[in-house]
Amino acid sequence: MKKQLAVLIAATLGLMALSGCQKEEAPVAAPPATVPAAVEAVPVAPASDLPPPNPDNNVYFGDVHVHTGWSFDAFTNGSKTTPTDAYAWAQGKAITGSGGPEMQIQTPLDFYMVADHAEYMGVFNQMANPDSPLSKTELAKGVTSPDTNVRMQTFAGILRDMSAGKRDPTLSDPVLAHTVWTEIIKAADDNYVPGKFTTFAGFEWTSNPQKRNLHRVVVFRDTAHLPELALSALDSDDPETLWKWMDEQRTKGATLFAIPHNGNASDGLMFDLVKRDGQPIDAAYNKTRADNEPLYEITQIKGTSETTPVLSPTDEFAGFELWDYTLSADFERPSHPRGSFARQALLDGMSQAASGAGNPFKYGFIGDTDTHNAAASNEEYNFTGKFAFENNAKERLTGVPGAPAGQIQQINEFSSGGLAGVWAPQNTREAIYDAMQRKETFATSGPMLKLRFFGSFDYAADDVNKPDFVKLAYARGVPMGGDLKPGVGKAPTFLVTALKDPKSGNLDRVQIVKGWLDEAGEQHEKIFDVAWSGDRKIGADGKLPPVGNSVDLQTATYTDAIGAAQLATGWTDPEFQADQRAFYYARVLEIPTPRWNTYDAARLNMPPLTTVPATIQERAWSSPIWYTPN
Amino acid sequence: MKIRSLLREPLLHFLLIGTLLFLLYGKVAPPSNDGNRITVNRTVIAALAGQFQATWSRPPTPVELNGLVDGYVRDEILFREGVALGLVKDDPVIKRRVRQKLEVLIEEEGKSATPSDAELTAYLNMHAAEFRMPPVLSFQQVLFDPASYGDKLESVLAASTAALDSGATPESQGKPSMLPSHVEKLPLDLVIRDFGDDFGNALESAPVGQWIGPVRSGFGVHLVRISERTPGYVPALDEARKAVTREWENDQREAALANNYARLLKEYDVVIEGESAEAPAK
Repeated sequence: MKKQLAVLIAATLGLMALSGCQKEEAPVAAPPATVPAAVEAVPVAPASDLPPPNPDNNVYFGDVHVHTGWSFDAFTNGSKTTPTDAYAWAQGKAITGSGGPEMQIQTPLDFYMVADHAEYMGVFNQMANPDSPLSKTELAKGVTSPDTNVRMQTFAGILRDMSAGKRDPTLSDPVLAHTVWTEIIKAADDNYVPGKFTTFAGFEWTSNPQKRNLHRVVVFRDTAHLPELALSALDSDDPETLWKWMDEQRTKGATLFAIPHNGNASDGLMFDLVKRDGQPIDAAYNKTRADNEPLYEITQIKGTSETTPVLSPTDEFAGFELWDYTLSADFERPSHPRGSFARQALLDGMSQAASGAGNPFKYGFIGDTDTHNAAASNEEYNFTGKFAFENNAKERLTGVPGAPAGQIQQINEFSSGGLAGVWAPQNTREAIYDAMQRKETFATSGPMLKLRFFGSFDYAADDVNKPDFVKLAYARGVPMGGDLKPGVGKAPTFLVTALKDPKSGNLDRVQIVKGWLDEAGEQHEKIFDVAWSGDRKIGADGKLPPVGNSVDLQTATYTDAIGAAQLATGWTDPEFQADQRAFYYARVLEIPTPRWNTYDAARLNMPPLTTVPATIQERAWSSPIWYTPN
Repeated sequence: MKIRSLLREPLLHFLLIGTLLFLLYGKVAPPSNDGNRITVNRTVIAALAGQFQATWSRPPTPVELNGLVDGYVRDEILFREGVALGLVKDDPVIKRRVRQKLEVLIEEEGKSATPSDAELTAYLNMHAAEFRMPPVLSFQQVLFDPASYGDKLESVLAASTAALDSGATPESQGKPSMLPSHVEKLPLDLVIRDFGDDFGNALESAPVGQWIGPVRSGFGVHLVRISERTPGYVPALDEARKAVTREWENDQREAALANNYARLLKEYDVVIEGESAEAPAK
């Protein structure tokens, strides 16, 4: 009896042991091998409903580098906004201030793109998809029940389980297909009104090795050919990986490009002449970079990276809105200016081309924002901060109570948002994307300053005064972003017109920035003042006297007694030499106006800050025009 | 005979029932990863591979998959250690992240079926001001720089108006400018963008078909002749369907969050220490 019992117990235990093995391979339906496609293309308004395309192009203003509370770092810094809020704000609606005052732009924008970090978040749409095994589960029946009460109870049950720490494997993140990315695309499509307001699908790829910024914003031309998931920088912080991923998207029909920004926070990595793997850049790298990146975001809330006094000691305006930090939380200063700024990159790009490796840094320029609270905040007098906790005038100026002095200074040094100006025949996704692709764009530090810039060997300087000058300019030359074509003249002539934003200050001057390589391959840069307000004269030192300053710091007001509403000129390069590679771009400065911190101080009846400038000369930069000897 | 008596043994029954329960539990209980055992089961591996596939449009190579699994294990170990050390508790970042996930769940629940035309029309009527289309303007304008005329400005404007009335072109008058002298069918919001608030507001109510001025703008002073002004209007549902649906859905989402929170708040007893013991804001 005992022996038989022992055998029985052994057998039972054996049975249990066997079943224990099986328990680890609990049969759960494998997730679908491919997740279903993202949102289908949205039908657009028929062409007849759009205003006719303008062959001379209209100017459109907007931003494509915007974060909402769906970006993790925006959310943790207090933003309660969503992509829907961002698009509402850009179109002129008041949106939540996330605890602070409501935010509302004064002059709505023409285009906007939310570039949140598209993270993976699991919700329930797979359960409504009859092709997914998930739709066959008991849970799915409750989730998709037509009876609201049943749905509520099912959800309530799930929430209770979650809060009790019980994790239902069918809800684990990687299994479910619906992502924040799909919602972002939907918000863009829902707000796209061809002819009136353009939106794009896109995201930000946030590579920052050792807190050095290598971020790019990726923009898609349409929403018909989108990836199921955006690329995360957690997979790799090497831009070459991003470009490879972008190529994969193209094989599936997508049209997309990437826009880098904040070279100033990259400590020399952004325009490095060495790749991430330590090898020098080469022809293959240069071509890939140039093919994927037509534009550079030259100004934004975290500073302007056109140039710096260290690299451009003779440029009296080189110290504009410099935000001299890496992305470290310890207010670390970068130590490598070379490789951090756009003008030097343009020069290095030409040197690369001269050596036969092609030009990797042939960037057009846009301005943008990097707001982490849906509102681009490009209006200096209506600045609501980068992070949601800055949506409080007093705390923007004096810091959140308890904040370290270094952080307060860093926040005071934030600029208000910039704008991308685009010359396109109409306000549609295709037209604006294509204009950016061909670099017919300019950057502004925030105002809607309208800038035209053309170059040709076949212009006369006074062509700019002719009534049909724009038609003539396109017909006989190239606009900003283009390459000079061979022509009759001995030197190229550039036609520039600049018109102020009626809500901002008058214009001070127009400059043309020239960079070139001499016969020995040495790099040079020079700034020419080509048009200015009033009857100032260039001094013996070669400098144009300053325009003056009409700002009243106590009331944060200014007058139009100085400067001009518009400036226009034709300028021929007096130092041109046909065997020297060169680039030219226009830079337009306004008269001084109050910086955002001065507007805040005036509203709060406080003295202006002395740790940052009290006034600012807002400006615009055109994309360059390049000259290559035959 | 011995078998029969064995079969009647209560201990046997106990053992069999126990085994049965054990097997049953194994089938219905979720795979648990407790203690120092980390099980990277087929589901997890398939999920890692699936995420890779969705990003790169191809399955991971064996080397890549190993890397992903290693990453998963590393995450899991360090996470458990962190939890054991109490690092999860009261971490504001984790709290906000969980809140965000929950709010997405709640929003999903709040998505009801497609709204009917009646619902959308009611919404449109209730929020008519939001969907109003702006007036559209066609006009000609001439710019004058007040600084260059001083107190002669009034007579200069009068003379120009007379010239324009007699057939002079806008381009022949005033100060040459980059501003367009003829504007066709521009909505009022874009007129304001290009010329400024004062100019736009003046044109909204000015008489049509005659030269008027001085009209102020950020550029100076203008003479303006409106040739056509189409009034603003509230569109019918068919024209504004997309915008109305979008705003209606948005309201639904926000209502779901608000209602759910109100319901949850009732189930909690909130005690706020200090001077005032007000109920927290909804």
